Amino acid sequence: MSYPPGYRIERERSRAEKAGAAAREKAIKAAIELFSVGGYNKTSIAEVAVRTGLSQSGLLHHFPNKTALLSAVLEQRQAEDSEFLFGGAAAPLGWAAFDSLVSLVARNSTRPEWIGLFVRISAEATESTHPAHQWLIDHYTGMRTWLIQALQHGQKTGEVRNDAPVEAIVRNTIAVLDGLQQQWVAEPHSMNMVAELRVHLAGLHAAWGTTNNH
Amino acid sequence: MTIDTEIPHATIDEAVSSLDLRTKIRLLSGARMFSLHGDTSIGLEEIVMSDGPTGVRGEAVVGGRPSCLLPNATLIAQTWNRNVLAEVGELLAEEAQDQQTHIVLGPTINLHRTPLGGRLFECFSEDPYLTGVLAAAYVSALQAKGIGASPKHFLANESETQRTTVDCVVDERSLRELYLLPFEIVEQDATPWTVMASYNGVNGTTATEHDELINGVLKSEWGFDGLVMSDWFATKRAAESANAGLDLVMPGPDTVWDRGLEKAVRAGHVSEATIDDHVRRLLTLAARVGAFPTARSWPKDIARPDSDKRREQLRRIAAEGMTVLKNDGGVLPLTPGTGTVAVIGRHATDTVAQGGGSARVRPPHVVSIAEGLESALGTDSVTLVDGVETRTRLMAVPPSMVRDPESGEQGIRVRAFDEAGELLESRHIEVAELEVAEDGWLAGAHRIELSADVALPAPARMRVGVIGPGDWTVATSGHTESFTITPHQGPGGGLHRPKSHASVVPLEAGARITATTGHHYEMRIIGLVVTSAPRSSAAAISEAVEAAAGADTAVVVVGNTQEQETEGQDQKTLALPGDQDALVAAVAAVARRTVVIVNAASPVLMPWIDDVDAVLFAGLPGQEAGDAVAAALTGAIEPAGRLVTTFPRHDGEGPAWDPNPTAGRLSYSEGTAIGYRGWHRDQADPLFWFGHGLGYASWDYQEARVHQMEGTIVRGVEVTLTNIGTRHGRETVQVYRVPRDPADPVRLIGWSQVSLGPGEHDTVQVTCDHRPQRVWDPAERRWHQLPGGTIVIARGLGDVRASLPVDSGQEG
Repeated sequence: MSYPPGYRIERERSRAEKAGAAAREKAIKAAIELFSVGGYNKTSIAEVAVRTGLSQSGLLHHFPNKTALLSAVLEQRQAEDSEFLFGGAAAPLGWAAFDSLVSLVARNSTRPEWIGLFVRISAEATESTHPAHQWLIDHYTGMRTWLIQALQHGQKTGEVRNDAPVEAIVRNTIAVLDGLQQQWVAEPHSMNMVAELRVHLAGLHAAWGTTNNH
Repeated sequence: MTIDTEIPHATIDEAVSSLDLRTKIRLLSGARMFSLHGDTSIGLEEIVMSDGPTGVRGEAVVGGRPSCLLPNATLIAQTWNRNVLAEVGELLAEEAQDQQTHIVLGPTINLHRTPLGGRLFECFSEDPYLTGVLAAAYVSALQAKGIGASPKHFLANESETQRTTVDCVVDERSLRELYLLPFEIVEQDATPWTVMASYNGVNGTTATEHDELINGVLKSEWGFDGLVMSDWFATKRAAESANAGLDLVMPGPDTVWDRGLEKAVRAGHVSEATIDDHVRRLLTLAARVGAFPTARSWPKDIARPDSDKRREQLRRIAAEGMTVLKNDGGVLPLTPGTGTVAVIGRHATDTVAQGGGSARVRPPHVVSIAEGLESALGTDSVTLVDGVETRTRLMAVPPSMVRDPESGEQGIRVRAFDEAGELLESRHIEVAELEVAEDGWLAGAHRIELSADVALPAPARMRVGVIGPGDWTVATSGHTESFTITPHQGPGGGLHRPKSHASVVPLEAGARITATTGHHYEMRIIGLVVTSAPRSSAAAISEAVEAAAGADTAVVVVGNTQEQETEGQDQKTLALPGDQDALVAAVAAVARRTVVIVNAASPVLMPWIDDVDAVLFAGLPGQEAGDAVAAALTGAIEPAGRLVTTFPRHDGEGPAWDPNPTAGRLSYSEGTAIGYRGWHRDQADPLFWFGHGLGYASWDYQEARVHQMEGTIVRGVEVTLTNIGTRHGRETVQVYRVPRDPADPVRLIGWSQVSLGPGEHDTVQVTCDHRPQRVWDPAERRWHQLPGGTIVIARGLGDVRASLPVDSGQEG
């Protein structure tokens, strides 16, 4: 899941963090490739090190453990998702923002390993001590900010009813997205996430849209 | 052994003895990029060659005479039809005759070892027997019209990464049973007049110096009496290559032989008899192609590349090779009156008709898939929806979008200036790209300027820029930008896969674009880019979803571009480029019926396969692409293709994957089990097997028996089958042999085709070839016959229809 770069909450990075940027980038790329082919559980830090061209201790210097590497991978993935959603242009607002979530879910459905990773890591990362905890908080904050602005914009242009419960709609929608993905991971062929999400969005349109839709 | 009475041996000997050493050596290098030296004293004409094998391009890489653009090699091979290959050979010969070209450089008969190989689109198959038989039909037909073929690349050139330096490490059995086999079959069945030696090394020796392979196997053991030429710029050393059996160094005029061979002979490193043998082979070739001792005549009245005759041929060949991979509920063929159709995807309008690299052809036209479907189904019932971006490297602007600022004609203006800024020459060209060659009209230019007025219906935000390496300045009203585009490394780095640079600029209708570039050190292709500003994938997919939800059928057109299907570079993933998988998944979730057309030659991953109703694998279909797709989709022509290579489900699967050499060496460690052979050995489950293809009929196989044996070799299998479908169809009966020793992989040993109407049945006799039923014994350096085992009749090994034991009692 993702949100436009303008809505991202950037954390300050130390000099030390910046120093190893090149090696990190290479390691992340290697991890993405390995996770994509072999999945998260079957991939070892040692394999990532070999593909990166680093010693295991060299890799561990940049990423203290596999989970840290994973959260870096998720950030990278998030940047790619932003490109997919916004393509460097302004974020869609109004109902178009919600329509673009359909495209995003369609994309995820073709990458089951990535959904599996997201479901697993987002559950683990609810613990405040988890290395990916801040990533998860940023993720939800950015997503909510964007979708809330999208609905508020829709209220201004008249495509969203003024009495729409903006925050609740946004939290519900994120819950639907995450919940669909969790069920899909548990039973991969039991349903089509894109079709299910469209049902949810049609309900939103019917309840809170105006005849000025699109 | 065949005796060619046409070859004037006495005249050749006389000519050889009349020439001095220097003259002889000069003849053994190219005169230019694609031609050889003539010699009036012996009556030798200049021999002209052209790249092949998807069309006879002539000497210019871009902007030359329009030529027939054929379907790509895998699409042709997917017909599994020798007659189609012969038709292709004949067509290419006629195209060559029309351009007074003596030799067409092809076919490419390296194997699909790893699906990541960049040049898969140009090679026939992962199977050596299928490759050899199809290539032999092509070569025979081409040469029957007096045009020489050049099977390539000899040897073990299965991938492109570090191709000029990589040392391919291949055990002797794999060389014999896999990589040499297509060359052996072509040599025995079609007697090619030339063979091309590859860039790479084989087991420590570079291919142009490989005495064991060229002198040993090809010339001595097989009796090849033709000429061995180098791949372009492949020859590294003079004496070593001349002694190994290389006969001709390409291209010229400046070659390692020209510089050093005479000295090597004078120093005694190369015998004059060796030189004489090379010249004798050159003159034999010249006699065969009609360049010695008297010049040939060239037929007139050859069909134009855009004639009705050619259009029918190219449409039919492409459509017959297209392969139905999935067709749930008989969604295909789409019949007129099928309701509304949403045609979705960039490849519908930006249809990729050919791969990239030296095989590139300038076609008279390319019918896009959108155009083809609109004319077949009616514009009223078709809605066109653009999809997601598919390219990171942009292409030259279509000529229809630009006007020459001076003449107002379609195309661009090219002006060459000298160092003082004086205009040297100004030309109109019909397309928006051109080649800057050492011997071309722009060779002396200090600065080259390309200019055009853009034909836009209304002001729009567009990407404006150029393709091709060099230093550039691009200017249009309100925008000036200077930048450098770097070439690729290696031979033809400026020619193939030219990189682009473009920026988004607001353009008025009729805006003028001027791009200037300075001198550049190597041959290059340059051109103008004008294309729509990109939008996000999510926005494109949202639009597609709306259209798909409202239509009776969604046809999603996806595929690769020349960034994936190209000479000079291997792929890193088989995933479709860009966000095309997301596009298909989104459309499939909402559409009543989803048909996917895959416009690609290499295997692609299909993570959405379970969610769509039908998939047509359409290859890179050549100039009639859209009409061929429409004919296949509507059933006007049955897409009766069978896959020529196995499709993995995920990246990394299959017996051979990574084409990246380690420390300069690429180990063919999977041995003799590439492609389906390895999948079968590992009992693995690919997405689609080699040989898979549904067509539009259904087939019931009844009795099958091995009816002819020769020692332990199966020579014939007989099988009765019935078309139990509702449409006329063509079936390809495939016979495989599973050896008794599990160390030896399964292999195709024969196939036969039959066309039957609904309810009709026939008994088909499949002739089986002894050549794939041999095992090479490296110790004794000879072949053994495979003993025993099982005969399997299958529609691809995922759909076995009969298994027959090979009677061990008949072992000899």
